[in-house]
Amino acid sequence: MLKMMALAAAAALALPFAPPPAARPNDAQIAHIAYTAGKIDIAAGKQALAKSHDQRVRAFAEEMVRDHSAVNDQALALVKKLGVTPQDNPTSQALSKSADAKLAALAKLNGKAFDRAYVDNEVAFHKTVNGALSGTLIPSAHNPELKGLLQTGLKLFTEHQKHAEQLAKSFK
Amino acid sequence: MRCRAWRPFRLGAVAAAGAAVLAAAIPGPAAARTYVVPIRNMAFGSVPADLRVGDTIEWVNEDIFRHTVTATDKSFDLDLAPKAHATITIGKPGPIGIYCRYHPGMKTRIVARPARPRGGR
Repeated sequence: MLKMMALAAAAALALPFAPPPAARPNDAQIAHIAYTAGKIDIAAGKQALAKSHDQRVRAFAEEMVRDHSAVNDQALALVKKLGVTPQDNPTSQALSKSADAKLAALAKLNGKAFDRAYVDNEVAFHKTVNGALSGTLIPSAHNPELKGLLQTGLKLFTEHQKHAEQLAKSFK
Repeated sequence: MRCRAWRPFRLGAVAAAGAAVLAAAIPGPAAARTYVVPIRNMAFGSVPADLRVGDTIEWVNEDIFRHTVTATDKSFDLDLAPKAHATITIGKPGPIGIYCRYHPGMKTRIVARPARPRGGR
């Protein structure tokens, strides 16, 4: 619950008002949050591929688009199989609003400034999502298959965070 | 399942073919072994404990993610699409660190000893 609030709060950093704290999410909401987080990072990766000329940044962005698309495809297949309709919720909304603001801010940057800002945001974003996955989403998930997919997601996103941190360090 | 991208490590394949020819020419049990190491849930599976020069490791990517099997000494670098597999043949004794270029926290290490004596264990 606290982590859920932390996620919502972190997502809302760029917003003038924080959304009301979300209740313990159900599986339909969890699926929505996880899918939204993946979708956000795919959009960020596509923006980086359109703007960056740095080979390492582009390789990282390609990896983000590829890996998050794979997880989201799996998530879609799973909710279909389970007959669950992902349910929109305040956390997903806060994540999306914050991500839209970030995309707009990054769109104004170019060259090294963009590369740095993109990679720094990737570190922060993955940290936030990993905290939410381990603290709230995984413990709250009821369906074992959904829980399993979230656990795979956590392993994957943890690797992404490490990769982003390595990349961020190389810019210093 | 048929694999879309079976891409043998070229040197490994040549060495393996050479070993097969040699094994056919000389009587006695083949000394080289083939091990299968899965890559599953963002981790390399257990690596063979008794790995010898001439042995082959087949890496099978069971994940839904693309991974690499990359040697820290640059002696091999396999790029595996989801569900793909590829092999390396051990050419020299000693330890080799291995990691995934895409997911740098994925690491393992193999240690190869000199080739088994022919007919021995």
